[in-house]
Amino acid sequence: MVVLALLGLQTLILAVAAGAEGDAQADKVSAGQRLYREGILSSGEAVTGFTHGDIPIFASQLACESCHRRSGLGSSEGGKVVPPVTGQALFQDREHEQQAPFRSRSMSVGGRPAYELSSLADALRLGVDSGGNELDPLMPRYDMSDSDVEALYAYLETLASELPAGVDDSKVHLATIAAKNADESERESMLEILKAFAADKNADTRNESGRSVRGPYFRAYMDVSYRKWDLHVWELEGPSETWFEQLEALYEEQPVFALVSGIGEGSWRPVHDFCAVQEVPCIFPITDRPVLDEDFYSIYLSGGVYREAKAVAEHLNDKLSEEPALVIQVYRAGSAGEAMAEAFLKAAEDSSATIEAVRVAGSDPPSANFWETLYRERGPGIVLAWLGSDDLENLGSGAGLGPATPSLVILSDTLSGDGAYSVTGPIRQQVRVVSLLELPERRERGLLRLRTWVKPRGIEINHPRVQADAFLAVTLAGSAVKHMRRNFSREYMIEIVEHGLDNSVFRSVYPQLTLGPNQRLASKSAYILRPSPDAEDGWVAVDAASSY
Amino acid sequence: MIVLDTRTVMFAFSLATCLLLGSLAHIAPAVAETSGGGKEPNYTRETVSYRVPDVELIAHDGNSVSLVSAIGGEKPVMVNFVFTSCTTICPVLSASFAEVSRRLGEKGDSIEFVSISIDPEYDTQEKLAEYAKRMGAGESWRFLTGNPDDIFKVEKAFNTYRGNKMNHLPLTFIKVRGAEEWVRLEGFPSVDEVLAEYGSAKNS
Repeated sequence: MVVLALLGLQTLILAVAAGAEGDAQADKVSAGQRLYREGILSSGEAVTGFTHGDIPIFASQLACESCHRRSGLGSSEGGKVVPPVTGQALFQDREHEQQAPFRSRSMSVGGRPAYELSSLADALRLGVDSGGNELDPLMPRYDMSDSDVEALYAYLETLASELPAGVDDSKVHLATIAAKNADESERESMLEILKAFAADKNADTRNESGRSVRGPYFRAYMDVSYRKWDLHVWELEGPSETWFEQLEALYEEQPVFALVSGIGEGSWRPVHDFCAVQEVPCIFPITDRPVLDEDFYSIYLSGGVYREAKAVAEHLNDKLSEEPALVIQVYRAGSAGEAMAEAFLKAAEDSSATIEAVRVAGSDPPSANFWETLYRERGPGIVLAWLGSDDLENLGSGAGLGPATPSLVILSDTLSGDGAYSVTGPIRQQVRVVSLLELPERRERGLLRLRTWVKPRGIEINHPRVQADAFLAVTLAGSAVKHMRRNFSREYMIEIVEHGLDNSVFRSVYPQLTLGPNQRLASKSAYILRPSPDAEDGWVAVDAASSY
Repeated sequence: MIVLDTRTVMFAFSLATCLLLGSLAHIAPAVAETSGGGKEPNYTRETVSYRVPDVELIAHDGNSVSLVSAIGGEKPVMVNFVFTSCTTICPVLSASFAEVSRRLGEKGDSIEFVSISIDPEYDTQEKLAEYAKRMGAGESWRFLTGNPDDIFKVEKAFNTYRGNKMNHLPLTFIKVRGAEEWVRLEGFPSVDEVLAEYGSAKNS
């Protein structure tokens, strides 16, 4: 607390400093940030140096951020522990964290006095710390001018220097998005999981705080950093295009540390942009239209309709280029199906196929007549029906189509859910389903952990996918908040999720979930499924899962 | 009382660990000498036989590559395992390959370099091409990715699989012309040390 108060004072002093001086300082910080993140010196040149004695490195290989990460709080990889380089870590004396008998095998680093400008320069150039100890040879010895060291010093001072908005002495404020345009029952199911998790977490917090005070060794390793969760439910009104302003207003009223899970119809772009602008982690929202531009702050479970469209284009690749193929995309205007159709067009733009669009009008599901006319008029083409489950009701009609039978009818698991697998009639053998989920017969196994968790909490599983995704998001967020200890940094939270996901036992309904530094899509594979020739209602993968 | 007990147990455990580690050191593979003289060595060396799995992988230039023909034949080759989003270990391994390949290339040595991705789902051919450029890879250095099952086989074959990719180890494999066995370096040898290992393997 004293430290925080001092830092607050320092900020105040900086704030009242003369304007010109402030500008110069801001320039230094931004030059330092560029050096830290991209390895670009104030001269505009890339920084160079050597690691492990004689291995020459340059900026794009090893800028500071590579190992110490954007948060500045360090990382660990393959047994190598990279220490934090935030202002608080560097510019204070450091005691040895461990008691003597445990030092030799501890991952912590030794004691040393606070860094000053000159000792920081020695560390960066010569690899000697402020206590005169040699740094690990992995740390590059950089070729850096005095002004570059000064800029870096100024930037490091600002790294994780104060508690981020959304965290106070007793609480961590988190929010989830419950848009009004989402299916009401799905929305409630998601909220039930999140609230139950938060309630458990808060009940536990009491014990965590107690242990940190009473435990004989606990104290040495852990700080009293526990906070209760305050989970805010942000109910967004109207179409997704109007969400950005609503989010800004909600955030102004109550800043939050992170967004966890969330559900809503439409493009997730406004939430994604909000998270990028406010630098708020957005952990695993439930959306069929994620934004795949790899911005730092949003992490998604899967690529939704965009990933599915790409998988279908890859699957059809040979057919589209070899034959004068006709592809008909059926969807409703303004729906996720339209977004998928656009994504498919883009993914198949190099093919010679004729790709037509048929938009479904009216509120009723397309009739048997609609499908039969479509098949007969267009001949035996490939039909991509990007529709919701209800709209597929009459898809299987059209017995005795003969030569007009479509060669393939491709459906989307994301859009049609279980409905994609329930098409009956002679068309069924033509159906292929694109899916980002685990193979159908293995999905139930993936849900076991969730079922075990909800049972004593009296929660019904009504929407397994939604609830499983919500559970995964909140579990990982929970574990990240816990692992941060006192280091409440939004960037660090994301880095922990990146690092920790591969160790998660629970993986919702996906075949595999993995992330790595700066990866933003957890489930990367896609299956194309066809009705099993042996079993009446089974489905098998056409090929091995395709990669990202 | 409880505190004292725990402490005693912890200390005994730590002591036991030290003793165990100490005794292990005697049977551990020969620790290579380092240039630092007296300093802790930065790597260990082993000589091991590996059976290269018969898998087809994709190179960063888009070509399909039989792993057996790429690294399983007579040709001299150096191999490492990396992934493009890796932040600490791989950049150093790659920087080392960049310099080692440059220096050997200057001498006219025909050794080839192969980096195999251990994150094939993310590391597409495009990602590898971008990474090769970022690392300053020359002509003699190829990056391979492939089907996750195949990559898993390769990792198993070379005893590099450690589950979560973030637990991967810094490894460099060297095979000289016509050799049956690989020199396996674990840790971070300097460029001079890698060249010395290659030189001594050639002369043995």
